[in-house]
Formats: sequence, structure tokens, C-alpha cells
Amino acid sequence: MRSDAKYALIAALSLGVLLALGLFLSSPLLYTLEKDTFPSRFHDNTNVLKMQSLNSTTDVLPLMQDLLDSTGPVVLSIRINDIEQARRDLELFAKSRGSLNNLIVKLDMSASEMEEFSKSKALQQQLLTELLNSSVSLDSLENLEIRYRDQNNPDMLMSVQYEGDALRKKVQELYNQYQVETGKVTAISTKFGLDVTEEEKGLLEFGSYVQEIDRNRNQQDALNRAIDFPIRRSSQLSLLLNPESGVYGDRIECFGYYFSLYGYRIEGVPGKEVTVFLDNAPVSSTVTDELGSYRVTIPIERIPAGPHSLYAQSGTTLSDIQTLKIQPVGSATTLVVTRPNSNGDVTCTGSVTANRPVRLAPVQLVRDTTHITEVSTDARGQFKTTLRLPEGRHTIVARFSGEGFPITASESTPQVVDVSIRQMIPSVISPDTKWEIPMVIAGTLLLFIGIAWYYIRREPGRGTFDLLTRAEPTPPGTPATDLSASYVEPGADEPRAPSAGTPPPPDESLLARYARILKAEGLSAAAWVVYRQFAGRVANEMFIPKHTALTPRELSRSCIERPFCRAFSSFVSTYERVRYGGQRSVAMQEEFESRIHSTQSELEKRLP
Amino acid sequence: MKKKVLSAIVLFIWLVIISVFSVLAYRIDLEIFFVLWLIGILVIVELMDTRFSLPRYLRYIKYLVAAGIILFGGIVAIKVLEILAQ
Repeated sequence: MRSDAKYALIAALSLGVLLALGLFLSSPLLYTLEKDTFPSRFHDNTNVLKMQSLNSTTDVLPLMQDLLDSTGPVVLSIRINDIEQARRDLELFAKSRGSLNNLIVKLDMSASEMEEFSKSKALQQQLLTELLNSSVSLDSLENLEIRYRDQNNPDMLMSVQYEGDALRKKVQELYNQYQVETGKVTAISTKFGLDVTEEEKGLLEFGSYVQEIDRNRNQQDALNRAIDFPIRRSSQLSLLLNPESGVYGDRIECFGYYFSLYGYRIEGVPGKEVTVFLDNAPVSSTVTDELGSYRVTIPIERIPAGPHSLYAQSGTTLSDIQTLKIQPVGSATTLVVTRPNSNGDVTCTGSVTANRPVRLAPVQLVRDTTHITEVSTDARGQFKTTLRLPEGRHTIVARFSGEGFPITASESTPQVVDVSIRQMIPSVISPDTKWEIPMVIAGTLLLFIGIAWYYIRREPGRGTFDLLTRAEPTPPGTPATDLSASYVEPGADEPRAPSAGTPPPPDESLLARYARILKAEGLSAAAWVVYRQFAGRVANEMFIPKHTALTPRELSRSCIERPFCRAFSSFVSTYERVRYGGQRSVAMQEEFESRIHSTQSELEKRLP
Repeated sequence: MKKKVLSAIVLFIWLVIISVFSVLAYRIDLEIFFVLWLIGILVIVELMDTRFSLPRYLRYIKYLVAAGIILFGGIVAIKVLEILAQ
């Protein structure tokens, strides 16, 4: 096949490929859903499958229905006091919720309704777990209440009653939250055409349970009023509170006297150890002074809101029970997230404040609603921690639950952090400085222009930096490339001369060198040396690369529009006759030498 | 076979391979295509280059490669701009 035909074929094929690529540029699909029918499932396009999954809810709906049907049995089991069954139902519920979450992640479903459903179900699970725990605690308290009533122990009975009240209040709050979440879940499920009967039944059961525990409380109150507790406590220890109610951060002063009756006299007893109890747990201890008085201060920190029993005890002597009322206060949680560093680490700092900084408060740092990191505030109510984030876009929220504190829950505004490979590249230039951007662009372009220049100028087979380290420009009179040092022209005798005798002196003139080689090796070798010298100078002047690859005639033809070109051309003509024509007579030698003189004088005019 | 013809065929095959994989990956990116073409032609020129002579066609290919390197510099500069813009 002729070479032209080959090129034409290659060009036609290339054009064909490019044309085919151009057709697919807008929508690069090998298969299309609309037109193609697949003979087997092995021919299915995975991308199309993904699209089909995303567009249908056939995989998700059964799981959503399972979740809807799981909540009712949990509440029912709690209501009928079957704790073990409730735990099992709750585990099943958690399992179904995990499957739904996995499916949402797997199918990359980011629809807001689906996320809302998943979030509401997570909250429901949390609320039901707390309800289960509260139910167990309420049962224990009821048993204790019966026991203390039987023992005629009004102090402990009151304390247990307060705790029960707090628990009932908590259950009522749980119910309120559950009602809100159930409303959301029902609305979304109805939209998807799911059956919400079990979900609504669960809510009704929850409501009935709240009413039942309130009814039980009223019955027990009536029972307690009917019992006349005998007063068997000594009044030798008094207790007063100042103030009798407070909020988080307040300090309650508890003081009183330890006294004894001596006939008709009342005298304080010094040196008696007095312990103050809050909800039957010792909180502070002190010793009476010389007058028999004592004073302790109780800070309101990690004490739940509501009424609390407070009494003092010294040996077997008990004071009257006082009631301390703690009011709940609102809180504010803040969060600041730094930009990620090269490892993807971000520093999260923030604070929790109620009417003052909240000390030693547990704070949850929730990333993307799935990953939770626990931190705690310091004495100034501030927290600080470092999180390592994977690549991608993340939302971080700081959440304070308020559990155990007389403070309502709060959470910070969500902080969005974008961790990408580009941001992981350490930035040496501040993008705020405008003038540096053109500098960077110009620097980059200059660098690549330099690389392109090096690529064109470099010669194959040389070291990477030889071109850069070579002395520029070439001194006049030396060949333009360094090939002359090692390159031996076939048939040339000149390189043998230095090896045979002493090396030529470095400052030897061209004519002296010519005369020396003429004497030692003859006219041909001497002519070659002179030609190489002139060729190097001409190539250097005319910017001819690789001139050693050219014949003397080619070099002579390349030399145009310069004054020395005519003389060089005549010199080359004579040189060819001497070197290749074998004309080495005395007349030819004289003619050659005259050409040397004329060419050298022309070159020196141009290149002094 | 002449080096000139062989190099053209090798470059063509290389471009076909790039195109096929681009289509299979559902990602036809002109920048990636250009960079891979540049790598291919750099390797081919390096393999066919001569030491003592510089044929005219090779000189022209080298000019083409140098232009490609400058264009690649332009792509790098645009990428730097994108990073700074973030």
C-alpha cells in the first residue's frame, strides 16, 4: 500500500472516531432506557438500574411500613407492664430503623421527606427508650412508697413521692414530644399511601398510659392523706432555707440550730456533725459552732427542675423536711468550627449558657445526624475538641440535652464544613491578596513556556541539565556543539594527532594549528581541522543546530544573506576538492591557504 | 516500517484506547483527553528521536509538543485559579 493511502486511511479512521465521540458528547450512553430491550439481566446497564432504584420507592416502602407497625406494640407492652416484651419490641424497632437508614444511604436518597421520616423515627426510638426506663423507675418507686407507708416513715415517703412526681412530669414531656413526632411521621406516611393505624394506636396507648400514672398518683395521695402519721421525730435540729426556690447557678443557704432542752432552758450543742440531704442523698456536711448553729451552702447545678426534699441529720436526730423548688431556665448552645487542615481536622469550640455559663455539661457534637462525639464543658462553660472529617460536605451541630440539669435542651445553629482534596492542599498564597493571583498565573505559564523551550532545544541522549549548564554563548572560533570533542569523522586523521604527540596549546591560533597538522599529517587532515573551525563559527552565527550532521555543501547553502557567506562558499568549494577530490598539489595548497585567509578575514570582520 | 508511519499508527491506537475507556467510564473530559494525548505523543517522540540529525517532520512534531506543553500550562493555571476562587 502506498504511504499516501496509509495516511489517508489513518486520517479517515481518526475522523470517524472523533465524529462518533462528538455524537455522544451531550449524553454519553451506551444503552438507553427508552429504546433498548435487554435480552438478559447481564445486559442491564448498572447506571440505569441506579436511576430506576432512585425513581421508585418499592424497596423503601416495605421498610417504612415495618417501622410504622413497630411503635404501637412497644407502647402497649410498656402500658401492660411487660418490660421484657417491650425491650424485645424496641430492639426490633431499632433493627428496622437501621435497615431503613442503610437503604437510604445505599440508594443515595436525599429527599427531604425521607430524611424527615428517618429523623422522626430516630427521635421516637429515643423517646420510647426513655419511656421504658421511666416506667421501670416508676414501678420501683411505687414499691418503695408502699414499703415506707407500711413502715410509717413519712420522710422517705415524701422523698419518694417527689421523685415520682418528677418522673411523671418527664413522662408527660415525653408524650408531648412523641405526639409531635408521630404527627410528622403520619403526614409523610399518608403521602406515600402507607397504613398508619398502628402508629396512631401507639400514640393513643401512650396517652392512656400517661393518664393511668396520673390516676395512680391521685389515688395514692388520697391514701396518704387517710393515714395519720405519728410524729416520732425529735425537734432538736432545725433547718431553714434561703431562698426556698432558685434556678441554675443560684446558691441555697441552709442553716439551723442543734439544741437540747435542759429543764426549761434551751441550749445549743456545739461540735455536732450535721449532714444535709437532698432527695435522700448527702450533699454537704458541717459541724455546729459554739452556739450550736450550722450553715451550709448548696449550689444549684446538676439537680433536675421541680420540688426536692431537703433535711438535716445529726446522728439519729432529724430536722423537719423542707422543700426546695428549682425552676427550669432556658439555655443557648453555640458552636464555631474552623476550616479543615490538610488532614481534614477541624476544631470545634463553643459554649453552653443558661442564665450563666453551664459548668461540666455534657455536649453532643452530632455530625451528619449519624456520628456523635461527646464532650464536656469546662468551668467557664466552654468546650473545645478536634474532629477528623472524611472528604465531603458535613453538617455539625452541638446539642445540649439538659438531662439532669434544671435547664431546657438547646442546640447550636448547624455549621457546614466542606472537606475536599483541594482544601487539603496547603495554601501558600492567601486568596485575599488580589495581586498575587496574576503573579501565580504568570509564574505557572512562564514555567511551562520554559519547559517547552527546553524541550525544543534539548538534544536526545544528553543529561537532563546539560543544556542548562552549558556555557552560552559559544566562544568564537569553537564549534557550536560539543560534538567536535568526541565525534570522529570517518577517515579523518586529526584526532590521532593529539594522541600521538603532545596536546595542542590552548591559545594556539588557527593558522599555527593548520601548519602543525599540515606538517604532521598532510593537507587533507589540516583542511578538515580548518573546515571544522569555520563550520562551527558559521553555524554559531547562523543559529544552525546540529551542523555536524550537514555536509560542507549543505552548510554552505544554509549560509545566506551574510557578508562572509561568499568567502565561506569559495572556501568550501576548495575544501571539497582537497578533501574529497584528492587534489593536494602545491598550487591547490596555495589556493586553499588563500581561501583560509579570505574567509578568516571576512569572519573576523563579522565576528571580531 | 518507517518510524514516521509507525509513530502515527501508535498514536492513533493510543487515542482509540483513551476514547473507548472514556466512553465506557461515561466521562468524556476534553482536558483529560488532551493530557493523555500529550503524554502519548511525548513518549512516542522520545522513542523515535535521533541523536545526530533532526528530520523536518520531527522538528514540526516537537513544535507541536511544545505548544501542547504551553496549553497544559494554561490548564494548570486555570485549575490554580479555581482553587484560589474557593
